[in-house]
Amino acid sequence: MTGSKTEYDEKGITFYYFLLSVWAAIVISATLFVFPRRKSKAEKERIRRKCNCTPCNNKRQTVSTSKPIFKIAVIFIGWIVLLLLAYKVSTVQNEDREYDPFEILQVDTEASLHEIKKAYRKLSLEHHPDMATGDSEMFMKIAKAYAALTDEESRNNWKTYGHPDGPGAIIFGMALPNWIFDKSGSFWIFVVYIVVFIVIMPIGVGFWWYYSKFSKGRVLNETHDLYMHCLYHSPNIKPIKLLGYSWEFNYKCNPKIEMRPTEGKDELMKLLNKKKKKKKAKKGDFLGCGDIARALLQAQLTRHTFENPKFKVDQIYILQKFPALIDKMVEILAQLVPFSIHMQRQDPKLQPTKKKQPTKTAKKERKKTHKPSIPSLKTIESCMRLSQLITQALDVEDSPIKQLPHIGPDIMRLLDDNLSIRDFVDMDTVERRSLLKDLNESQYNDVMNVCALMPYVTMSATCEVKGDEDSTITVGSTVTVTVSMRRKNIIDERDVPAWADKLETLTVNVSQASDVTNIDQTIKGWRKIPSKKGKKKTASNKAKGIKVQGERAKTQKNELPKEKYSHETEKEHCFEKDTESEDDESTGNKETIDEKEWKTCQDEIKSEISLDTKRESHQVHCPYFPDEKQEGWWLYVADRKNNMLFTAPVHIVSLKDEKEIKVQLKAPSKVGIFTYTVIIRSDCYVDLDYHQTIKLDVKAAKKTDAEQDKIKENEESKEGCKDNNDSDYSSENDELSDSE
Amino acid sequence: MGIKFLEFIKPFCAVLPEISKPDRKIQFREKVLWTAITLFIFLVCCQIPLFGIMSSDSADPFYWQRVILASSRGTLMELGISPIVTSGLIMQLLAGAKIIEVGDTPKDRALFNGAQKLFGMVITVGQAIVYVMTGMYGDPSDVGAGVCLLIIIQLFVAGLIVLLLDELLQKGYGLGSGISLFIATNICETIVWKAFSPATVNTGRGTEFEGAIIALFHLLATKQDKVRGLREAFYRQNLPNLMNLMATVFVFGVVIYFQGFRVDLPIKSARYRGQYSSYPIKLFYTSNIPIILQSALVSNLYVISQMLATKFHGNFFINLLGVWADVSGGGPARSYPVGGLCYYLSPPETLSHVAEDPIHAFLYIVFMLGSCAFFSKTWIEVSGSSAKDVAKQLKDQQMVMRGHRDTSMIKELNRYIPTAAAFGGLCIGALSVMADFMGAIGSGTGILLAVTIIYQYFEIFVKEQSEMGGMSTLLF
Repeated sequence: MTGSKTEYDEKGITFYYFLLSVWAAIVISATLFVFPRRKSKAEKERIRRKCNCTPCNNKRQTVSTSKPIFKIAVIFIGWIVLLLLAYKVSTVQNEDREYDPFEILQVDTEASLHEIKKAYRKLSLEHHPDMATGDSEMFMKIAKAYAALTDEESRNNWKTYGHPDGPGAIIFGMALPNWIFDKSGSFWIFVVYIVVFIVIMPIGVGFWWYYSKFSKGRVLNETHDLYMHCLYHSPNIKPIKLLGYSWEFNYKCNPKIEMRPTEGKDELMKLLNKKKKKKKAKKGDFLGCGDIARALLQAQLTRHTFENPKFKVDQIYILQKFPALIDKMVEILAQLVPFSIHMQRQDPKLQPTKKKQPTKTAKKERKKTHKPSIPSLKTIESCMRLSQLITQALDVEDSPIKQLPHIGPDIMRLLDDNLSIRDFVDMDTVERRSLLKDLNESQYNDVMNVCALMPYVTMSATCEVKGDEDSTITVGSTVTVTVSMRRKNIIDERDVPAWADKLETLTVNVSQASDVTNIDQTIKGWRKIPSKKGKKKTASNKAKGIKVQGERAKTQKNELPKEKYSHETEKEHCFEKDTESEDDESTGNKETIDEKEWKTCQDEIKSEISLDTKRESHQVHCPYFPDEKQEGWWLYVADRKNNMLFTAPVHIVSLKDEKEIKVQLKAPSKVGIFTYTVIIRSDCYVDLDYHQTIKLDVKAAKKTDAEQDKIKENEESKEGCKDNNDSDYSSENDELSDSE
Repeated sequence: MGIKFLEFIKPFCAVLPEISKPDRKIQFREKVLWTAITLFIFLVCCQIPLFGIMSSDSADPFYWQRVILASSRGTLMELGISPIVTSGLIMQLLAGAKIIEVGDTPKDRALFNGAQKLFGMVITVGQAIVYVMTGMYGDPSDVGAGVCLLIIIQLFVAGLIVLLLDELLQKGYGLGSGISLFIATNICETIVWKAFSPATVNTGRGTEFEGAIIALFHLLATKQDKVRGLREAFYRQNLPNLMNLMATVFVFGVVIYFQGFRVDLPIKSARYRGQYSSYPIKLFYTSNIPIILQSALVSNLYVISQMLATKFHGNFFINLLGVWADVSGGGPARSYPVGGLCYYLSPPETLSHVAEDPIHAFLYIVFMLGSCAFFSKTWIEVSGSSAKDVAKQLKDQQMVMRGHRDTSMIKELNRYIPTAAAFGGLCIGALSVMADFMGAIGSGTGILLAVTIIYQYFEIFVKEQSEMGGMSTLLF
């Protein structure tokens, strides 16, 4: 940078300063980064309510031994090196001292002019070259120092340039040791460069690239395609089976998986055949990767422990991969639902068969020709349930009470099969203790501690049409369902009587729902369109070849009276607005209202924008799952009766206390009252799902501009003409307001 | 005539090297990889000295341009991104002024991009020839024709590499654009160097470190009087001090804070009821464009003035434009304007300068704020982000503003967009002035550029993160 003048650090003094400060910067920032933050309240609570069951303890050992100690050790070493460096620097003799006239004159820095003069006289007498003790060099120094303190010019020079003589020659340097720039040194530097940039870096990047493909949170593209394909063609496949065939678990794709065709085959076969006895004969003794993986997952469900340590390792690997895979599966299913509905509508072959015979034969036909059928809610929910079961290591038929520690088969026998966790918590203390009388006091405490930290979620869901003046739900509009959730520990909730209220509202909801079903029995969600058409057909006596557009026109015709009414009201509304705008006072009013609306709107948007990137909620008690797991929830809206999913499940991973989520769904294209269910499903606890029914009161649509156009296209009736006039009128008004 | 110009370019486009569009979705991880590789190539190019040049100890005429053009003297990156920026700027201006007509079809777009690239290559060659012929690398007659040609070829190939790297990122293989990546890297490099530089200077009162943080440690360790040592670490004048570093951090924070200022216009779909979203209008509507344009203008003026000053030394009119003096401080040799127009357009070095010559400071501030606001306002017209264009865009997507009719949408947008543009430009100018006064490292312009670019990258990361889940799943 500074060309030929550069001087390197030959004595290795300045280099140490450089090293010290860079090292200090690194070590201090690393320490701040790793240093444990203060424990939050929830965490303290968790520690207080620590579970001491054997699997929990085992897990804690395996999980905790790995990382923090290593980190702390590295930082400790860093600090030691830092201290050594600091010691080295402090002992190094500082060569070029700063020029200090006070030191030469041997006076204090605060000395007065009188004292300085006195010291100067004394020293100059001592060192004067004419004297026996004389030293001409020393005398010069003393004279200069005295001048620096008394003479104006030298004083200025000393202040600005550090020396009474004025600026010296500028020497540029580089605080790097000299050997780097020697002939031999530069050769080695060159070698190091070559090695780092040409050998190590590409290899490092290559390794990162290759292994990050198989990291915990990632799903291979091949697996993605496999899920897509399988779920599309056979939407009712068992999730566990599909999981087993993920490419992550295939030795062809993932080098971490070893193929062990012969070892412990019988054990695995047994696990598989517990479930499926039929396949025993067919499959013979062939066991593919998929089967092995499935067997290992099955073993997790039955809490089967392998003798063979290799299987244990494999099982842990599979389980670590599991959350990402199940998440992907749910995501793909959610994508497939609207997609296959779309395909069904598009497919011309499919529709006639359905219309002609909406019976079992039609269904069979569909299966034969491999036409896509819509993945039902059941498939998705079984995916989510599998996630819960695997995390808690419960089998399908097991009681949820088995999630709690120390609950063995003996106690299970005493308990009612249908006993839920909530019932268990709600139970009278004495009764509960008597049920668990086989447990000793500390074991009972464990059970209660785990119980206490389980989540209890209350939610309230409201639905409205956003972004419009009025929020009534009309046919075909997009409805925004706002769900606000509140998570508490189940034990906190138990102390509060609010729980009883909640139960009551639930029952009320149920009764409402049943009422609604009486009123309107033909509610269907996405599926509704084909079936509706079928009905139409019967009503209009088999008009086969009518196109969709025509039908739509008809529906509009049927709904015309209502629409007309609403349209007229809208017109009036517009009119009022216009008249208002002429009036100054009312515009002022409107302005303030507008401003309020504006403000709320801005706030709303802002709250949506603020992303929380923290993926932290509450730790889950899952002693049989190899990783620490944080609570997660799936939120979705569905029609339980028709097994239809309406919104893609949102995976919520940061529900700490409260959270508000907005989901959008398309309102049915039919007038009436519809009941849907908002469901919150845990991805880690069995039997802790919550749901609430919402009612959509769907009104006939007001005409938006686009619909108006369609009407014009379809039928040129008087109504259409009127509309035309109206719109002309309004546009004139617009121009007027513009010109104002 | 307009279409004809692009048609004229067409045969050349066939021979231009081109990076084909990705035929699949590029994963975020892959994008990060490509971006890193691009950056690596650029950094290596910044370090490789040109072959055949003679030592150049003369004052660097392009010192003022180096920051925004990401160029480094005497290396393959001598030209930096200036060919791309210049060609892009000129083509945009031509298109904006309707001298070249560009249709909306993808074919037209491709042709326009091709033309831009071709123009960039021509500029590269032109600049390389000018650099060599004006004797930046020694007198051409001394260097010899063969070596001259060699230097030109080197510069051209390096320029082509930069062009292709930029295209690689912009076509969707990487994050952001090459230009902004290189500028941000250059500036961040400067800041890190000024904080941790191991270079030392000895002016007679002991060795001093250039790096501010290292100087702090060094001064604290060596000075007897610790308070004085600390004061010197914070306030020393000749070299970067801790106050400069803190000012840099402060400006960083302020700019990021301002980045969040925006108005969200609520819009809804005209076709489907209940579908709504928002159209954000940022305070920094034109981002860092005004500052780029402004500094491009000023630095060009400097270069011209410097060249004229050396040729016709002492001429009255030339002196009116700018009087230059060589100052060799701690850093590389460079010329400072000490009089004339250029002096009044250059930032005052310190606050004490302001006190000495308040007219200079005043004129500088007025010029900065005015030019930034002006460039910002003109840029929205040129680049197609004015209220009219936005309204048309929204209309094409069948979106209308909530509570407004189609026709009043332009009016409503006009309430916000020009104001945001002008005021945003003003703010950018003010921030730049403030940074200069506080002595932030790497000049106010540079920091503003770096922060806005880094913020864009941050937004990309956050968006990707919220879609994919944690940072760890993104990268590992």
